[in-house]
Amino acid sequence: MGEVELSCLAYVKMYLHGCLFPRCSVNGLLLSSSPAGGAVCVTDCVPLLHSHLPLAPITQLGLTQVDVWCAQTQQRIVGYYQANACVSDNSPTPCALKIADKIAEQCNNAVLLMIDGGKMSPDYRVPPIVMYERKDTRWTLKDKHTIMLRQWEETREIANQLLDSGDHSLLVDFDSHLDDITRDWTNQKLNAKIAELASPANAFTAALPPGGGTVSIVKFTWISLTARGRQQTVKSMSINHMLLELHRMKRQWLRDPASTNIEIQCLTDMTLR
Amino acid sequence: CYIFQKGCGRKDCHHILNSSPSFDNWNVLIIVFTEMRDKLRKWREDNHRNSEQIVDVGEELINEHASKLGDDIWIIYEQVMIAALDCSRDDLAWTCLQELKRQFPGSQRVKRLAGMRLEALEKYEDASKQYDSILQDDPTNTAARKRKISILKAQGKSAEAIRELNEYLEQFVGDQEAWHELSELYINEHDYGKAAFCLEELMMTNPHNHLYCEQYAEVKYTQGGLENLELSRKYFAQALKLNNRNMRALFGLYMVSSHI
Repeated sequence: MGEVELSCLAYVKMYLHGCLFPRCSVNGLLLSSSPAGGAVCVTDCVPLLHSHLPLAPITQLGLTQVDVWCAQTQQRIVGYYQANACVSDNSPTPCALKIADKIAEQCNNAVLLMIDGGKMSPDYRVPPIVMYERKDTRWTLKDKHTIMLRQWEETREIANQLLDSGDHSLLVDFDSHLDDITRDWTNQKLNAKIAELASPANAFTAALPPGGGTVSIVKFTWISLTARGRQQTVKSMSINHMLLELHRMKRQWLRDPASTNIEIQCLTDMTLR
Repeated sequence: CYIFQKGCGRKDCHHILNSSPSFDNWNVLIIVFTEMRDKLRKWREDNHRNSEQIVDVGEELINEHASKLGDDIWIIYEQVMIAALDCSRDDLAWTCLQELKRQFPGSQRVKRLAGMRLEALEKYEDASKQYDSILQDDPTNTAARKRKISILKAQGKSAEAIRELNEYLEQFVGDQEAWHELSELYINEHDYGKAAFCLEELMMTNPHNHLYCEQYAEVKYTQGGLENLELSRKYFAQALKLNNRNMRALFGLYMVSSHI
Protein backbone atom coordinates (compact mmCIF):
# COMPACT_ATOMS: atom_id res chain seq x y z
CA MET A 1 0.00 0.00 0.00
CA GLY A 2 1.20 3.50 0.71
CA GLU A 3 4.47 4.69 2.10
CA VAL A 4 4.82 5.57 5.73
CA GLU A 5 7.31 8.00 7.14
CA LEU A 6 8.07 8.09 10.83
CA SER A 7 9.39 11.37 12.19
CA CYS A 8 12.13 11.72 14.76
CA LEU A 9 9.75 13.18 17.33
CA ALA A 10 7.29 10.30 17.11
CA TYR A 11 10.00 7.64 17.28
CA VAL A 12 11.84 9.21 20.20
CA LYS A 13 8.67 9.60 22.27
CA MET A 14 7.61 6.02 21.58
CA TYR A 15 11.06 4.76 22.51
CA LEU A 16 11.16 6.79 25.71
CA HIS A 17 7.67 5.62 26.63
CA GLY A 18 8.86 2.02 26.38
CA CYS A 19 11.97 2.84 28.41
CA LEU A 20 10.05 4.68 31.10
CA PHE A 21 7.92 1.64 31.87
CA PRO A 22 10.18 -1.31 31.15
CA ARG A 23 8.08 -3.73 33.17
CA CYS A 24 4.69 -2.98 31.64
CA SER A 25 3.05 -3.15 28.26
CA VAL A 26 2.66 0.37 26.90
CA ASN A 27 0.61 1.75 24.06
CA GLY A 28 -0.17 5.00 22.37
CA LEU A 29 -1.48 6.73 19.29
CA LEU A 30 0.34 7.93 16.21
CA LEU A 31 -0.63 11.32 14.82
CA SER A 32 -0.04 13.10 11.56
CA SER A 33 -0.26 16.78 10.77
CA SER A 34 -0.15 16.34 7.01
CA PRO A 35 -3.41 16.21 5.02
CA ALA A 36 -5.03 12.92 4.10
CA GLY A 37 -4.10 11.21 0.85
CA GLY A 38 -0.72 10.14 -0.41
CA ALA A 39 2.00 8.94 1.90
CA VAL A 40 1.30 8.78 5.60
CA CYS A 41 3.69 10.92 7.56
CA VAL A 42 3.64 10.26 11.29
CA THR A 43 4.73 13.50 12.88
CA ASP A 44 3.85 12.99 16.52
CA CYS A 45 2.64 10.42 18.96
CA VAL A 46 0.66 10.44 22.18
CA PRO A 47 1.61 7.84 24.78
CA LEU A 48 -1.54 6.43 26.33
CA LEU A 49 -1.42 3.66 28.89
CA HIS A 50 1.02 1.57 30.81
CA SER A 51 -1.43 -0.53 32.82
CA HIS A 52 -4.53 -2.59 32.06
CA LEU A 53 -4.31 -2.06 28.33
CA PRO A 54 -7.27 -4.32 27.47
CA LEU A 55 -9.72 -2.42 29.70
CA ALA A 56 -12.11 -0.20 27.79
CA PRO A 57 -13.04 2.93 29.73
CA ILE A 58 -9.67 4.67 29.89
CA THR A 59 -8.77 3.67 26.35
CA GLN A 60 -12.02 5.16 25.05
CA LEU A 61 -11.45 8.25 27.14
CA GLY A 62 -7.96 8.63 25.77
CA LEU A 63 -9.08 8.19 22.18
CA THR A 64 -11.82 10.78 22.65
CA GLN A 65 -9.55 13.36 24.24
CA VAL A 66 -6.82 12.89 21.66
CA ASP A 67 -9.43 13.18 18.91
CA VAL A 68 -10.63 16.49 20.26
CA TRP A 69 -7.09 17.79 20.64
CA CYS A 70 -6.24 16.72 17.10
CA ALA A 71 -9.24 18.55 15.72
CA GLN A 72 -8.02 21.69 17.48
CA THR A 73 -4.45 21.36 16.26
CA GLN A 74 -5.09 20.18 12.70
CA GLN A 75 -3.74 16.70 13.24
CA ARG A 76 -5.32 13.32 12.71
CA ILE A 77 -4.91 9.94 14.34
CA VAL A 78 -3.23 7.68 11.81
CA GLY A 79 -2.03 4.76 13.83
CA TYR A 80 -1.44 2.92 17.06
CA TYR A 81 1.70 1.59 18.69
CA GLN A 82 2.26 -0.94 21.42
CA ALA A 83 5.21 -2.45 23.20
CA ASN A 84 4.59 -5.71 25.05
CA ALA A 85 5.94 -6.33 28.53
CA CYS A 86 7.22 -9.73 27.46
CA VAL A 87 10.33 -8.93 25.45
CA SER A 88 10.31 -12.14 23.46
CA ASP A 89 6.80 -11.64 22.13
CA ASN A 90 6.12 -8.73 19.83
CA SER A 91 3.00 -9.88 18.03
CA PRO A 92 -0.10 -7.68 18.21
CA THR A 93 -2.47 -8.59 21.02
CA PRO A 94 -6.23 -8.78 20.47
CA CYS A 95 -6.73 -5.40 22.14
CA ALA A 96 -4.12 -3.86 19.82
CA LEU A 97 -5.99 -5.22 16.82
CA LYS A 98 -9.29 -3.93 18.15
CA ILE A 99 -8.03 -0.40 18.69
CA ALA A 100 -6.23 -0.41 15.34
CA ASP A 101 -9.47 -1.49 13.65
CA LYS A 102 -11.29 1.42 15.24
CA ILE A 103 -8.64 3.82 13.99
CA ALA A 104 -8.76 2.30 10.52
CA GLU A 105 -12.47 3.09 10.34
CA GLN A 106 -11.63 6.76 10.41
CA CYS A 107 -8.37 6.71 8.51
CA ASN A 108 -7.75 4.59 5.44
CA ASN A 109 -4.01 4.11 5.67
CA ALA A 110 -3.86 3.44 9.38
CA VAL A 111 -0.77 1.65 10.66
CA LEU A 112 -0.24 -0.65 13.57
CA LEU A 113 3.23 -0.49 15.01
CA MET A 114 4.70 -2.99 17.44
CA ILE A 115 7.95 -2.11 19.18
CA ASP A 116 10.35 -5.00 19.40
CA GLY A 117 11.70 -4.85 22.93
CA GLY A 118 14.49 -7.30 22.26
CA LYS A 119 16.08 -4.94 19.75
CA MET A 120 15.97 -1.77 21.79
CA SER A 121 19.68 -1.60 22.59
CA PRO A 122 21.45 1.78 22.20
CA ASP A 123 23.47 0.90 19.12
CA TYR A 124 21.09 -1.27 17.15
CA ARG A 125 21.47 -0.76 13.43
CA VAL A 126 17.81 -0.71 12.44
CA PRO A 127 14.79 0.75 14.21
CA PRO A 128 13.21 -1.84 16.51
CA ILE A 129 9.76 -1.53 15.02
CA VAL A 130 7.46 -3.88 13.17
CA MET A 131 4.71 -2.27 11.14
CA TYR A 132 1.42 -3.71 10.04
CA GLU A 133 -1.06 -2.38 7.53
CA ARG A 134 -4.62 -3.32 6.83
CA LYS A 135 -5.23 -5.46 3.76
CA ASP A 136 -8.90 -6.35 3.35
CA THR A 137 -9.87 -7.05 6.94
CA ARG A 138 -6.64 -8.45 8.30
CA TRP A 139 -3.52 -6.79 9.55
CA THR A 140 -0.49 -7.94 7.62
CA LEU A 141 3.18 -7.12 7.85
CA LYS A 142 4.13 -4.08 5.87
CA ASP A 143 6.90 -4.24 3.33
CA LYS A 144 10.01 -2.83 5.03
CA HIS A 145 10.90 -0.77 2.00
CA THR A 146 7.81 1.36 2.30
CA ILE A 147 8.74 2.49 5.80
CA MET A 148 10.97 5.52 6.05
CA LEU A 149 12.75 6.93 9.02
CA ARG A 150 14.90 9.84 7.99
CA GLN A 151 18.26 10.23 9.71
CA TRP A 152 18.01 7.10 11.78
CA GLU A 153 21.41 7.51 13.40
CA GLU A 154 20.68 11.00 14.64
CA THR A 155 17.25 9.95 15.90
CA ARG A 156 18.79 7.08 17.79
CA GLU A 157 21.41 9.34 19.32
CA ILE A 158 18.78 11.81 20.47
CA ALA A 159 16.84 9.00 22.12
CA ASN A 160 19.98 7.68 23.81
CA GLN A 161 20.95 11.10 25.03
CA LEU A 162 17.57 11.78 26.58
CA LEU A 163 17.71 8.37 28.23
CA ASP A 164 21.20 8.99 29.63
CA SER A 165 20.36 12.39 31.01
CA GLY A 166 17.26 11.06 32.70
CA ASP A 167 14.99 13.36 30.70
CA HIS A 168 12.79 10.43 29.76
CA SER A 169 11.05 10.90 33.10
CA LEU A 170 9.63 14.13 31.64
CA LEU A 171 7.41 12.04 29.37
CA VAL A 172 3.78 12.07 30.49
CA ASP A 173 1.41 9.43 29.24
CA PHE A 174 -2.36 9.46 29.65
CA ASP A 175 -2.19 7.12 32.64
CA SER A 176 0.21 9.46 34.44
CA HIS A 177 -2.05 12.38 33.56
CA LEU A 178 -4.94 10.62 35.31
CA ASP A 179 -2.75 10.03 38.36
CA ASP A 180 -1.85 13.73 38.46
CA ILE A 181 -4.19 15.81 36.35
CA THR A 182 -1.82 18.78 36.21
CA ARG A 183 0.64 16.90 34.03
CA ASP A 184 0.47 17.59 30.31
CA TRP A 185 -0.10 14.51 28.15
CA THR A 186 0.67 16.47 24.99
CA ASN A 187 4.27 16.67 26.25
CA GLN A 188 4.98 20.19 25.04
CA LYS A 189 8.11 20.49 27.16
CA LEU A 190 9.58 17.24 25.95
CA ASN A 191 8.67 18.12 22.37
CA ALA A 192 10.63 21.34 22.73
CA LYS A 193 13.63 19.48 24.13
CA ILE A 194 13.60 16.98 21.29
CA ALA A 195 13.25 19.74 18.71
CA GLU A 196 16.22 21.50 20.27
CA LEU A 197 18.35 18.39 19.99
CA ALA A 198 17.17 17.61 16.49
CA SER A 199 18.11 20.94 14.99
CA PRO A 200 21.85 21.11 14.51
CA ALA A 201 21.64 24.87 14.14
CA ASN A 202 21.56 25.11 17.89
CA ALA A 203 24.94 23.55 18.21
CA PHE A 204 28.16 24.75 16.70
CA THR A 205 27.53 25.68 13.09
CA ALA A 206 29.82 24.28 10.52
CA ALA A 207 29.90 26.65 7.60
CA LEU A 208 30.25 24.97 4.27
CA PRO A 209 31.83 27.01 1.53
CA PRO A 210 29.24 27.85 -1.11
CA GLY A 211 29.17 25.60 -4.13
CA GLY A 212 30.79 22.76 -2.28
CA GLY A 213 34.20 22.51 -0.77
CA THR A 214 36.30 20.41 1.45
CA VAL A 215 35.19 19.50 4.90
CA SER A 216 37.05 17.20 7.17
CA ILE A 217 35.26 14.20 8.46
CA VAL A 218 36.08 14.34 12.07
CA LYS A 219 36.52 11.35 14.24
CA PHE A 220 36.56 12.22 17.84
CA THR A 221 36.58 10.40 21.06
CA TRP A 222 34.86 12.04 23.94
CA ILE A 223 35.62 10.72 27.31
CA SER A 224 33.27 11.90 29.96
CA LEU A 225 33.18 10.82 33.53
CA THR A 226 29.70 10.21 34.77
CA ALA A 227 28.85 10.40 38.42
CA ARG A 228 30.12 6.90 39.00
CA GLY A 229 33.38 7.39 37.15
CA ARG A 230 32.26 5.46 34.09
CA GLN A 231 33.86 6.43 30.82
CA GLN A 232 31.95 6.84 27.61
CA THR A 233 33.68 6.89 24.28
CA VAL A 234 31.87 8.29 21.29
CA LYS A 235 33.06 8.04 17.75
CA SER A 236 31.16 9.88 15.08
CA MET A 237 31.41 10.05 11.36
CA SER A 238 28.61 12.06 9.81
CA ILE A 239 28.28 15.83 9.99
CA ASN A 240 24.88 15.77 11.64
CA HIS A 241 26.05 13.25 14.15
CA MET A 242 29.11 15.30 14.89
CA LEU A 243 27.06 18.43 15.46
CA LEU A 244 24.76 16.51 17.75
CA GLU A 245 27.69 15.20 19.72
CA LEU A 246 29.24 18.65 20.00
CA HIS A 247 25.97 19.96 21.33
CA ARG A 248 25.84 17.18 23.82
CA MET A 249 29.42 17.77 24.91
CA LYS A 250 28.68 21.46 25.33
CA ARG A 251 25.80 20.66 27.63
CA GLN A 252 27.86 18.24 29.64
CA TRP A 253 30.72 20.71 29.84
CA LEU A 254 28.38 23.48 30.98
CA ARG A 255 27.01 21.17 33.62
CA ASP A 256 30.32 20.04 34.96
CA PRO A 257 33.53 21.31 33.35
CA ALA A 258 35.76 19.11 35.46
CA SER A 259 34.31 15.91 34.18
CA THR A 260 34.68 16.31 30.46
CA ASN A 261 37.81 15.73 28.45
CA ILE A 262 37.50 16.26 24.76
CA GLU A 263 39.89 14.89 22.24
CA ILE A 264 39.36 15.59 18.55
CA GLN A 265 41.19 13.93 15.70
CA CYS A 266 40.74 14.83 12.08
CA LEU A 267 40.67 11.77 9.92
CA THR A 268 40.20 12.32 6.23
CA ASP A 269 39.13 15.08 3.92
CA MET A 270 36.05 14.62 1.85
CA THR A 271 34.56 16.89 -0.73
CA LEU A 272 30.93 17.80 -0.24
CA ARG A 273 28.79 19.42 -2.85
CA CYS B 1 27.44 9.17 66.94
CA TYR B 2 26.67 12.33 68.83
CA ILE B 3 30.18 13.00 69.98
CA PHE B 4 32.08 14.68 67.22
CA GLN B 5 35.49 14.16 68.67
CA LYS B 6 38.44 12.05 67.76
CA GLY B 7 38.96 9.33 70.28
CA CYS B 8 35.29 8.64 70.76
CA GLY B 9 35.21 5.02 71.76
CA ARG B 10 31.91 3.98 70.15
CA LYS B 11 32.47 1.11 67.78
CA ASP B 12 30.28 2.34 64.97
CA CYS B 13 32.05 5.65 64.82
CA HIS B 14 35.45 4.80 63.45
CA HIS B 15 34.65 5.72 59.90
CA ILE B 16 34.29 9.36 60.74
CA LEU B 17 37.20 9.37 63.12
CA ASN B 18 39.65 7.99 60.62
CA SER B 19 39.20 10.91 58.30
CA SER B 20 39.61 14.31 59.75
CA PRO B 21 37.18 16.65 58.16
CA SER B 22 35.94 19.75 59.87
CA PHE B 23 33.07 19.67 62.33
CA ASP B 24 30.57 20.64 59.66
CA ASN B 25 31.60 17.79 57.43
CA TRP B 26 31.02 15.31 60.20
CA ASN B 27 27.55 16.71 60.72
CA VAL B 28 26.73 16.43 57.07
CA LEU B 29 28.14 12.91 56.80
CA ILE B 30 25.92 11.64 59.58
CA ILE B 31 22.84 13.40 58.28
CA VAL B 32 23.41 12.06 54.80
CA PHE B 33 23.86 8.56 56.12
CA THR B 34 20.71 8.53 58.25
CA GLU B 35 18.70 10.08 55.43
CA MET B 36 19.78 7.35 53.06
CA ARG B 37 19.01 4.61 55.53
CA ASP B 38 15.58 6.06 56.30
CA LYS B 39 14.77 6.46 52.62
CA LEU B 40 15.58 2.81 52.03
CA ARG B 41 13.44 1.82 54.97
CA LYS B 42 10.50 3.86 53.67
CA TRP B 43 10.79 2.33 50.20
CA ARG B 44 10.99 -1.11 51.78
CA GLU B 45 7.87 -0.59 53.86
CA ASP B 46 5.90 0.93 50.99
CA ASN B 47 7.08 -1.82 48.65
CA HIS B 48 8.14 0.69 45.99
CA ARG B 49 9.66 -0.66 42.84
CA ASN B 50 11.95 2.32 42.20
CA SER B 51 14.88 0.02 41.60
CA GLU B 52 17.24 2.54 40.01
CA GLN B 53 17.01 4.80 43.04
CA ILE B 54 17.36 1.93 45.48
CA VAL B 55 20.50 0.77 43.68
CA ASP B 56 21.97 4.28 43.73
CA VAL B 57 21.34 4.90 47.40
CA GLY B 58 21.86 1.33 48.56
CA GLU B 59 25.14 0.82 46.73
CA GLU B 60 26.63 3.92 48.28
CA LEU B 61 25.33 2.95 51.70
CA ILE B 62 26.83 -0.51 51.46
CA ASN B 63 30.17 0.64 50.11
CA GLU B 64 30.73 3.66 52.33
CA HIS B 65 28.78 3.15 55.51
CA ALA B 66 28.54 -0.59 56.03
CA SER B 67 29.93 -0.52 59.54
CA LYS B 68 27.42 2.05 60.77
CA LEU B 69 24.40 0.03 59.77
CA GLY B 70 24.59 -2.72 62.33
CA ASP B 71 22.09 -5.49 61.86
CA ASP B 72 20.09 -3.44 59.39
CA ILE B 73 22.68 -4.30 56.80
CA TRP B 74 21.30 -7.75 56.05
CA ILE B 75 17.85 -6.58 55.13
CA ILE B 76 19.40 -3.78 53.13
CA TYR B 77 21.52 -6.33 51.27
CA GLU B 78 18.34 -8.19 50.38
CA GLN B 79 16.55 -5.03 49.26
CA VAL B 80 19.49 -3.81 47.19
CA MET B 81 20.01 -7.23 45.65
CA ILE B 82 16.44 -7.43 44.39
CA ALA B 83 16.69 -3.88 43.03
CA ALA B 84 20.02 -4.70 41.37
CA LEU B 85 18.45 -7.70 39.62
CA ASP B 86 15.71 -5.38 38.39
CA CYS B 87 18.32 -3.05 36.87
CA SER B 88 20.50 -5.81 35.38
CA ARG B 89 23.32 -5.06 37.82
CA ASP B 90 24.46 -8.62 38.25
CA ASP B 91 27.79 -7.53 39.76
CA LEU B 92 26.08 -5.80 42.66
CA ALA B 93 23.52 -8.59 43.06
CA TRP B 94 26.30 -11.17 43.25
CA THR B 95 28.19 -9.29 46.00
CA CYS B 96 25.02 -8.90 48.05
CA LEU B 97 24.19 -12.57 47.61
CA GLN B 98 27.68 -13.64 48.69
CA GLU B 99 27.46 -11.55 51.86
CA LEU B 100 24.05 -12.97 52.69
CA LYS B 101 25.17 -16.54 51.97
CA ARG B 102 28.14 -16.09 54.28
CA GLN B 103 26.00 -14.77 57.11
CA PHE B 104 23.00 -17.08 56.71
CA PRO B 105 24.19 -20.37 55.22
CA GLY B 106 21.40 -22.79 54.39
CA SER B 107 18.65 -20.19 54.77
CA GLN B 108 15.49 -20.64 52.67
CA ARG B 109 15.19 -16.92 52.23
CA VAL B 110 18.70 -16.67 50.78
CA LYS B 111 18.03 -19.68 48.55
CA ARG B 112 15.04 -17.85 47.15
CA LEU B 113 17.24 -14.86 46.39
CA ALA B 114 19.71 -17.13 44.59
CA GLY B 115 16.78 -18.45 42.58
CA MET B 116 15.71 -14.92 41.70
CA ARG B 117 19.19 -14.21 40.42
CA LEU B 118 18.99 -17.25 38.16
CA GLU B 119 15.64 -16.00 36.90
CA ALA B 120 17.16 -12.64 36.11
CA LEU B 121 19.84 -14.40 34.06
CA GLU B 122 17.00 -16.21 32.28
CA LYS B 123 18.22 -19.60 33.54
CA TYR B 124 14.67 -20.67 34.21
CA GLU B 125 15.39 -24.41 34.52
CA ASP B 126 18.01 -23.87 37.20
CA ALA B 127 15.83 -21.38 39.02
CA SER B 128 12.94 -23.83 38.98
CA LYS B 129 15.16 -26.53 40.45
CA GLN B 130 16.25 -24.14 43.18
CA TYR B 131 12.65 -23.40 44.13
CA ASP B 132 11.78 -27.10 44.00
CA SER B 133 14.52 -27.83 46.50
CA ILE B 134 13.09 -25.17 48.84
CA LEU B 135 9.64 -26.70 48.50
CA GLN B 136 10.99 -30.17 49.25
CA ASP B 137 12.29 -28.98 52.60
CA ASP B 138 9.26 -26.82 53.28
CA PRO B 139 6.13 -27.49 51.22
CA THR B 140 4.32 -24.51 52.70
CA ASN B 141 6.85 -21.96 51.46
CA THR B 142 4.65 -19.49 49.62
CA ALA B 143 7.52 -17.39 48.26
CA ALA B 144 9.00 -20.28 46.27
CA ARG B 145 5.63 -21.23 44.82
CA LYS B 146 4.97 -17.67 43.73
CA ARG B 147 8.40 -17.43 42.09
CA LYS B 148 7.65 -20.58 40.11
CA ILE B 149 4.46 -18.96 38.85
CA SER B 150 6.46 -15.85 37.94
CA ILE B 151 8.78 -18.00 35.85
CA LEU B 152 5.78 -19.26 33.88
CA LYS B 153 4.61 -15.70 33.39
CA ALA B 154 8.05 -14.57 32.22
CA GLN B 155 8.15 -17.39 29.69
CA GLY B 156 4.80 -16.27 28.31
CA LYS B 157 2.99 -19.42 29.44
CA SER B 158 -0.01 -17.53 30.79
CA ALA B 159 -2.47 -20.44 30.69
CA GLU B 160 -0.19 -22.55 32.88
CA ALA B 161 0.54 -19.61 35.15
CA ILE B 162 -3.20 -19.08 35.63
CA ARG B 163 -3.71 -22.76 36.42
CA GLU B 164 -0.88 -22.86 38.95
CA LEU B 165 -2.03 -19.64 40.57
CA ASN B 166 -5.56 -20.99 40.93
CA GLU B 167 -4.18 -24.08 42.66
CA TYR B 168 -2.09 -21.88 44.93
CA LEU B 169 -5.12 -19.78 45.86
CA GLU B 170 -7.16 -22.86 46.74
CA GLN B 171 -4.63 -23.46 49.49
CA PHE B 172 -3.80 -19.89 50.47
CA VAL B 173 -7.12 -18.13 50.08
CA GLY B 174 -6.08 -15.00 51.93
CA ASP B 175 -3.17 -13.96 49.74
CA GLN B 176 -4.20 -10.54 48.42
CA GLU B 177 -1.19 -10.12 46.20
CA ALA B 178 -1.96 -13.41 44.49
CA TRP B 179 -5.60 -12.53 43.86
CA HIS B 180 -4.54 -9.25 42.29
CA GLU B 181 -1.95 -10.98 40.13
CA LEU B 182 -4.57 -13.48 39.00
CA SER B 183 -6.96 -10.71 38.07
CA GLU B 184 -4.22 -9.10 35.95
CA LEU B 185 -3.50 -12.39 34.21
CA TYR B 186 -7.19 -12.86 33.43
CA ILE B 187 -7.48 -9.30 32.11
CA ASN B 188 -4.56 -9.90 29.75
CA GLU B 189 -6.28 -13.04 28.53
CA HIS B 190 -9.48 -11.03 28.02
CA ASP B 191 -11.34 -13.31 30.43
CA TYR B 192 -13.21 -10.47 32.12
CA GLY B 193 -15.70 -12.63 34.01
CA LYS B 194 -13.02 -14.41 35.98
CA ALA B 195 -11.06 -11.19 36.47
CA ALA B 196 -14.19 -9.69 37.99
CA PHE B 197 -14.44 -12.65 40.35
CA CYS B 198 -10.89 -12.09 41.59
CA LEU B 199 -11.56 -8.41 42.15
CA GLU B 200 -14.74 -9.30 44.04
CA GLU B 201 -12.64 -11.41 46.42
CA LEU B 202 -10.32 -8.44 46.91
CA MET B 203 -13.19 -6.03 47.51
CA MET B 204 -14.71 -8.34 50.12
CA THR B 205 -11.53 -8.34 52.18
CA ASN B 206 -10.69 -4.70 51.50
CA PRO B 207 -13.98 -2.82 51.37
CA HIS B 208 -12.31 0.56 51.81
CA ASN B 209 -9.85 0.29 48.94
CA HIS B 210 -11.04 2.61 46.19
CA LEU B 211 -8.61 1.17 43.64
CA TYR B 212 -10.18 -2.28 43.71
CA CYS B 213 -13.68 -0.77 43.29
CA GLU B 214 -12.51 1.29 40.37
CA GLN B 215 -10.74 -1.64 38.66
CA TYR B 216 -13.82 -3.81 39.13
CA ALA B 217 -15.95 -1.11 37.57
CA GLU B 218 -13.56 -0.90 34.60
CA VAL B 219 -13.75 -4.66 34.05
CA LYS B 220 -17.54 -4.59 34.22
CA TYR B 221 -17.61 -1.70 31.74
CA THR B 222 -15.39 -3.65 29.36
CA GLN B 223 -17.65 -6.68 29.60
CA GLY B 224 -20.56 -4.58 28.36
CA GLY B 225 -24.27 -5.30 28.46
CA LEU B 226 -26.84 -3.35 30.45
CA GLU B 227 -26.48 -5.28 33.73
CA ASN B 228 -22.72 -4.96 33.72
CA LEU B 229 -22.86 -1.27 32.89
CA GLU B 230 -25.21 -0.65 35.80
CA LEU B 231 -22.90 -2.53 38.15
CA SER B 232 -20.01 -0.58 36.70
CA ARG B 233 -21.74 2.71 37.46
CA LYS B 234 -22.40 1.60 41.04
CA TYR B 235 -18.78 0.74 41.62
CA PHE B 236 -17.37 3.86 39.99
CA ALA B 237 -19.63 5.80 42.33
CA GLN B 238 -18.44 3.74 45.29
CA ALA B 239 -14.82 4.36 44.37
CA LEU B 240 -15.51 8.09 44.23
CA LYS B 241 -17.21 7.94 47.58
CA LEU B 242 -14.12 6.31 49.06
CA ASN B 243 -11.75 8.74 47.37
CA ASN B 244 -13.21 11.73 45.62
CA ARG B 245 -9.94 12.49 43.87
CA ASN B 246 -9.85 9.30 41.86
CA MET B 247 -9.90 10.72 38.32
CA ARG B 248 -10.38 7.37 36.65
CA ALA B 249 -13.50 6.75 38.71
CA LEU B 250 -14.78 10.23 37.89
CA PHE B 251 -14.27 9.88 34.16
CA GLY B 252 -15.55 6.31 34.29
CA LEU B 253 -18.73 7.36 36.02
CA TYR B 254 -19.32 10.02 33.41
CA MET B 255 -18.71 7.66 30.52
CA VAL B 256 -20.81 4.80 31.81
CA SER B 257 -23.66 7.14 32.64
CA SER B 258 -23.67 8.48 29.11
CA HIS B 259 -23.88 4.91 27.82
CA ILE B 260 -26.85 3.85 29.90
